Amino acid sequence: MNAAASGPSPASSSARPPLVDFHDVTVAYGRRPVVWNVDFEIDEPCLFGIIGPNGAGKSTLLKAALGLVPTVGGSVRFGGRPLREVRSRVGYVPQRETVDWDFPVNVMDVVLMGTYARLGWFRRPGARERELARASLDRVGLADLADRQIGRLSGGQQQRVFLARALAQEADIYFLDEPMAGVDMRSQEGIFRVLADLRAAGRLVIVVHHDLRTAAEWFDRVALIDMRLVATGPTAAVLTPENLRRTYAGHIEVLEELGRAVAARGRTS
Amino acid sequence: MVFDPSKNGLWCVWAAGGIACLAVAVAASGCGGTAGPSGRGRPRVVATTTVVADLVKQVGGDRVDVDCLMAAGIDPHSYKPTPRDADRLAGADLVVASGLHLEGKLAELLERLARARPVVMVGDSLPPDRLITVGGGQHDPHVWFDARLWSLGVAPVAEALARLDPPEADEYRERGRAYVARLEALDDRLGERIAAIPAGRRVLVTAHDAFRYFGRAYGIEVVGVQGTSTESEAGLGDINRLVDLVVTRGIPAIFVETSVSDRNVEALREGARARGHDVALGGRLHSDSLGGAGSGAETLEAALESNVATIVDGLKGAP
Amino acid sequence: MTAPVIAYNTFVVAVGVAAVGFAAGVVGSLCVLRKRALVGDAAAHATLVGVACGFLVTGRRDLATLLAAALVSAVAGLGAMVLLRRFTRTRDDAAIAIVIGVSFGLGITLVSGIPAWGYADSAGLEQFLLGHTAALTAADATLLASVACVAAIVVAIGLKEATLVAFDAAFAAASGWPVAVIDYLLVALVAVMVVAGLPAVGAVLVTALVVIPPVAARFWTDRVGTMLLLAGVIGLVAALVGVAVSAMRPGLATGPLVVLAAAAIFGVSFLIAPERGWIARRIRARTLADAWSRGLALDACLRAAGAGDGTFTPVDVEAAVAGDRQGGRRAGAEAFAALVRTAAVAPVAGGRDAWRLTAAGRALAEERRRRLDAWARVIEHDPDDAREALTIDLPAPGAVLGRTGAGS
Repeated sequence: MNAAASGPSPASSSARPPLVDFHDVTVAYGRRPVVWNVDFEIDEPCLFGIIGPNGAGKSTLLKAALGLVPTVGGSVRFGGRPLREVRSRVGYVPQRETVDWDFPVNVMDVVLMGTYARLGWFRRPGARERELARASLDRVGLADLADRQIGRLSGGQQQRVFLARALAQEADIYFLDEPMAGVDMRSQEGIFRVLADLRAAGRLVIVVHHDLRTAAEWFDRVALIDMRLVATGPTAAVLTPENLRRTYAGHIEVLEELGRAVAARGRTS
Repeated sequence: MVFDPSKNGLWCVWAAGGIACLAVAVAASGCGGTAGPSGRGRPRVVATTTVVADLVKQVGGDRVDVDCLMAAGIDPHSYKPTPRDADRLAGADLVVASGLHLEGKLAELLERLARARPVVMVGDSLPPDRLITVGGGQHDPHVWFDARLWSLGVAPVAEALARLDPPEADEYRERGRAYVARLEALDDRLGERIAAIPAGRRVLVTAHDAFRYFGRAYGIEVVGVQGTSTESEAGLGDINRLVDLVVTRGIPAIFVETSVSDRNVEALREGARARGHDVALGGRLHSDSLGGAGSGAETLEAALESNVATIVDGLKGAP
Repeated sequence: MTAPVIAYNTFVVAVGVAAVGFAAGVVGSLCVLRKRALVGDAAAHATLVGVACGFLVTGRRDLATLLAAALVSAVAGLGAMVLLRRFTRTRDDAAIAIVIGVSFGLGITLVSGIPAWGYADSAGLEQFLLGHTAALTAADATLLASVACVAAIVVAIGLKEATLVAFDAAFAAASGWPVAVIDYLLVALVAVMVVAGLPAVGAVLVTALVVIPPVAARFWTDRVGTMLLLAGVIGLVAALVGVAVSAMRPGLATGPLVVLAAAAIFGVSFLIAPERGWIARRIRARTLADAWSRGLALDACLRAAGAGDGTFTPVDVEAAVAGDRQGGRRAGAEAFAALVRTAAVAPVAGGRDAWRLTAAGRALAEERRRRLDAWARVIEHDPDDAREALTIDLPAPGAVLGRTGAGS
């Protein structure tokens, strides 16, 4: 049931286990399956997109990888190890709606939360953590908003706060759940730039994303998901009209248009 | 709720279960002791409190069946009747209650019962000018602490029994008169004993204001932590006021009651101790209820004697 | 010995109730932030069963025993709630209602029934419904104060973890924190505080003590730590006020007075808190609306100044401001009056109701036009920048745009 990538596959050394291995993951809410037998691997650090229509189970797949929802079958491994052994190396940017933005904390407080896992129980953040938080805020361009209560930020700014928090986690693998939802174009580009920097620094960045156009522009590799895996591999090779039709059935003209646009642009790494 | 044919079977089970429950409930409420009036046999009298039950027993002797609603130690001010109580009362030939709203939560029930059978409210049958009024136009119901006053309520009970059981009428009246005489003698004795307490110490501090008649009849000042009914809550201000009273008057002992919470009394003692005045716990008094079997206070006379002995010991004995 | 300034009993009760008030405010803050305010209510109503059963099983009536039993039943009630949600798909609010109804019904039955069924020494259990501060001894107050201190210390130690879970449980779980355990600890802490509050204000009112101070504190601060501390202080002050008032006059129960004091503090906070208070919000809204109306009036004056003989009547200007809005006529009249006050317009001599724009007024109107044009260009060129920086009171674009660090 899996469609292997049709392009040239990267030279993955078989001696090393893949960075992230989604192995036959099936997730159900009650009786209904939301993710069905998704199986693919990510071998190298890159900017990886999980793309699909609404309700395709992309977020659920992400949450399953992070242990936030239980899997009915299958597992997700990190360098061959289960999540609980490598938690400190995994960073997470959840969807913005999960949070009450009226909570009485400011930007700095939230970014510091990224350092908590390394601090452990009962220890308070110190000078080192504050430095790290400030540096993270700098990278996302929010350095002078550190004292602002988070409810007074715009959508794009809020998303960047979350990103800064993830940066403060100092992880090797980052999961981002729809970071561009409801974010203005300028902030989106800013965020993508930060993610590209992470990739350049050797990190793996996995992003659940909904916008095909920007996906074609930014991601090295993608996985097309609609409850099952449709295709995975280098972006240009995967985002073909055929694959897109199989995923987004019903939006044929748009997809052909997009497919042509993607083919024309190509992807240079 | 959509009626889904495919779930028909389940729905029927639920309906059957519901009807079954209903049937059981109806049956259960039906049973439980309406055995009906006794017809020709001993008159059945149901009394509310132990005090009036004792009264009826003294007058009726072996000739009547006395059933007491509230057991010893129960607080009549807050007692709520159960359906079983209603049954017991309904099955009585005569109901005797203390009256004057002592059984605060039984008023409606007693009113209803009065339509079908004789109900004697002892307190209500006493001359109103002998009663003490408390706030709100009510009378203080604790009349049995004045033995002489209480004895005026014996005759109405004797008459009611006489009407109920005419063959024994003379017997009841005779016993009634004898009881009145005993109560009057008791009254004199109690008065003497109380008078023996030095005047400065003749203050009775108790959990609630049950002893006004007692105080008036036997010449002792009474102060209660809670008001006349235990339903009213004692506030911090009340406790402070009483600590003041106890300390400035040098009262040697305060008393708890068998049917009222003594937690306020403990706090009061601590407050007095903090000001250097040790006030002893004088003992337990019977207030709204007589003692249970084996307590030595199963009758009103015994309870009053016991109370006075406790009070005298407590107030006289301390240095 | 003469009467002391503060009666001993008052002092003892004050210490106990104030300690509980403080700790309840602190613990309650975490509860409110975690959006679990009603959990305290469920726990409170479940305590009565424990009080009654504790007495039945041990035959003892001392506060420590009864409160321990109350804690057991409170936790059991909360456990039942968790099981209901987990295994029967009952929603949160329904589960809470069920637990409250069943446990409270059972509790009341037992607490009023036990004295009626003739158990010796059983009078006084009903006092747990509305509290019985009058009966608090020094030992009782010490117990309450100790429990309160321990609870406050636990919160202080675990504040970081509690805040993290309350703010973003998903992130916390993904980072490896045992969110369920932390949640249960918080709930257990709330149960403890609810039980400690029983002698002070009783089962019926103790939820108020846990919920009102945090909500009141929220009006004054935007930081978690400050909010917790402030909530504790508010709880403490409310407790002291309640105790003081009930000690002064006979016949007043302390519990309801404490809750009333807390509610009064909440009412005051709601009204007068700067920034988040109602009055402040109204003033802000009014000020902004008035500024905008004044701007519209200025613009209308500028337009009129450039046409005909350059004069205008107040009615014209007011109409321009009013438009079709509700209450627009009043807004228009006030805007014009403001222009008159600030000497932006002056009457023309000669008896007619004619006015003209002063030099100062003209300067203001032209500056406003300039800013509007500048912002229009910003919106056209980059709406995201505008979204982040533009506000109703029309700041100067140049100054504002540099600050937000929009983009990278």
